[in-house]
Amino acid sequence: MDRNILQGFREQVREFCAEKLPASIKSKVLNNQPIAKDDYVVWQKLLQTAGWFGGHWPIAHGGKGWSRLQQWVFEDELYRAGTPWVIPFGVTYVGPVIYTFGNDEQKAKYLPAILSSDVWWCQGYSEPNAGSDLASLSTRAQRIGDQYVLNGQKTWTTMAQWADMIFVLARTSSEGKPQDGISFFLVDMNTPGLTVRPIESIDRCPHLNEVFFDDVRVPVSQLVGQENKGWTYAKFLLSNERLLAAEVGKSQRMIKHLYELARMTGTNGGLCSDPIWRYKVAELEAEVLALEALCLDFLDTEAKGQKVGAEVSLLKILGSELTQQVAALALDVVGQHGLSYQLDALTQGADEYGLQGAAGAVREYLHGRATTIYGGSNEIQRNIIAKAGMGL
Amino acid sequence: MSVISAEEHEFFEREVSRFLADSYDVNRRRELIKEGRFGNAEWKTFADLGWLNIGLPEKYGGLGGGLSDQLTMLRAAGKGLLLEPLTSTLIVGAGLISLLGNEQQKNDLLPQIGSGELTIGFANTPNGVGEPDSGLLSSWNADKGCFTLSGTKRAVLHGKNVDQLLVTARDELDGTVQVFLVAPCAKGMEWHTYRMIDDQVVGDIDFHMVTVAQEARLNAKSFDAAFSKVLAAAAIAIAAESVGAMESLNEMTLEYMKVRKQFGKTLGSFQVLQHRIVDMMIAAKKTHALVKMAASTFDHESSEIGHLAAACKVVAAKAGRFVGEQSIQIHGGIGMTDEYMAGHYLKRLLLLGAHFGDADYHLRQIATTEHSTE
Repeated sequence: MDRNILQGFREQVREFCAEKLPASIKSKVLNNQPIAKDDYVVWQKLLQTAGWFGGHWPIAHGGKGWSRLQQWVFEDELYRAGTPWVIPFGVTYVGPVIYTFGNDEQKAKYLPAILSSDVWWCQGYSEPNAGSDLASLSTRAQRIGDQYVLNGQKTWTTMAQWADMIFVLARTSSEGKPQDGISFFLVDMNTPGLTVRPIESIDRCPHLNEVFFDDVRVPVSQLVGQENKGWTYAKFLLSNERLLAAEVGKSQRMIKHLYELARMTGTNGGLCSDPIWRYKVAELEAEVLALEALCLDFLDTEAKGQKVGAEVSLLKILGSELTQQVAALALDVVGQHGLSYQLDALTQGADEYGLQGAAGAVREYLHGRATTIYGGSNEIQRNIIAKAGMGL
Repeated sequence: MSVISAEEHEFFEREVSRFLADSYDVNRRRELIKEGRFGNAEWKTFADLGWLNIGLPEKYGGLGGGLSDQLTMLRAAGKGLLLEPLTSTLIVGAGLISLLGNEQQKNDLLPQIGSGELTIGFANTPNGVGEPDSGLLSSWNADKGCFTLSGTKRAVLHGKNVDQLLVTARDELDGTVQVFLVAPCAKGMEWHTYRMIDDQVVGDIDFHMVTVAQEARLNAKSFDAAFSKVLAAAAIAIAAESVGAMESLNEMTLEYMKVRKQFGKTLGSFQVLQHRIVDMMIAAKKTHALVKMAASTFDHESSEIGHLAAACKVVAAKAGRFVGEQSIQIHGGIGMTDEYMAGHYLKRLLLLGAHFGDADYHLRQIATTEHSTE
């Protein structure tokens, strides 16, 4: 598949971003500063004015029926333009689960607000004892009359502090295999008994949380699909995600920013004039191109209606490891100037001592250590390829 | 050269471990970090236990001995993520004073270091190495019979928490490098303090015509040789600290692997992770071996010390980053929390990898200096 496929659409997206992306938001993204909830919502609503935010949704549910390829190209261009991460929990994760497996009432109730970014979702999956082994989760959902009563704890819940709704995998049966006793619920964050506690992360910016369920009563109408079929819906959600996991545009944006950081490091273009340093970046640039080619390969297979094999997990493996390597090079640049982490400097307009943009580079490195852990750790991804892809 | 016997070394090692376990706990450390300082009580304990005298010449009240004898303490700094200015005081401070100072300065200052009364910070370049640029200039005021310092210093580790700073400056007239002892709160010193990646305090200083007495300039004779020697010792010291940090992380990670279960098995049952922790152990062990060899070479005043010190930094920086990153990876989500200690060790290892020159800097030294293995 040609690199320049959908070139017309790419240019449209670039123009849109150049015109519509607020400069203050773009600056925060490029400098790896924390993005406020309002920033995400403003941007998502702007994308939806073109109908693009939900572009990959079926037309019947308010989308534009984009192919996977178009969705990939769209996200690629967004990354390169320095836009905020498209928060996936509503529009990419639970939305498709609802329109594929939910009933009409749920579709009517939840889908429009996801597209309009008026309702913020978070993902209640991981638990303290169910990380890689998610199927062993133990948050219980007990059916009592026309309600389910939820008890348990979710952890590593990204942006729960901003969420209006949480989609939860909970155990409705302990018989048979663990996977066969899990159900998928839609829960209002304001339900009595539900508490959110922030977790301080190594990057010292708020994003992770624990969510406690203490006799949280959820109407039966909030169960998606059938009881004990939740694992199927979760797997469906994951399979959608794999093709988009490489974040090629992000690596490209980060490399561009790396050159800018290096240019500021001394006289005569600083590190940028150092051939040894340039070799290191060149190595990563070559790998990014390979990753882009791999994405197009898989998208081509998918576009032809052929089955995309388990090796697609390699996109997540390579993408995450690549962004970590670029972040590490940026950290090295900062390290030559005294490896400080000036949290105050993460706020726009605040004083930063020494190299400008250093705080953001440090934050990106620290935050990025999670990319090889979340979404199925890279060890799990390699296991998947070995077993399901290579028959080992 | 070592004045400490093998038995005494073992005893010292145990004493240090006990100190870390009993006295330097996580909560105390968090408290000190919050307050933006290191532990004066802890420094006094180091002095009382005689640790600060190791490596100081007997003539000046020390126990004698060399860098090899100081390794246990330097490793402890990494093991316990100590905040106290051990390297800047004992290695750089005592080192520069011993090599550059006149007899009066040595008699005055070295015993104070040994007794714990004097802590020293080093204001040279942001990454510690190399000769200073013209950012800070010194001029001699003949009328007042003193020096004046004007300009800036960046990224001075420990900030104003130390008793004295050793500051490098260029002479305004002839550009030669001078070394001055300056109090952090001397008149005209304007500080901007912030934090290193591992929460240690660091500061930028604007010197506004800061007056420095003549006696506070270390005799600048044979500066280059002394400077190289002290920076080599500092490189080895930093690498030793990295060893300690890696050892702690490996212990923590191994323990976690034996206890944490997923898929009905401990993490330690998975061969991929077994191999990973073995590689982490190898990284720590090879760094430790090289550090010991380099320290011994340093104590014997071999001409190869520059080469070995650079190798120490290269190996330690790469090993430290590998162990730090993989420890987080193996711990999974919990490794990403601030509450758990793994992240703190990673951050210290990253700082140690950059301080006193990163791997690239030292690779360049090896690549561009003629050495015996060419």
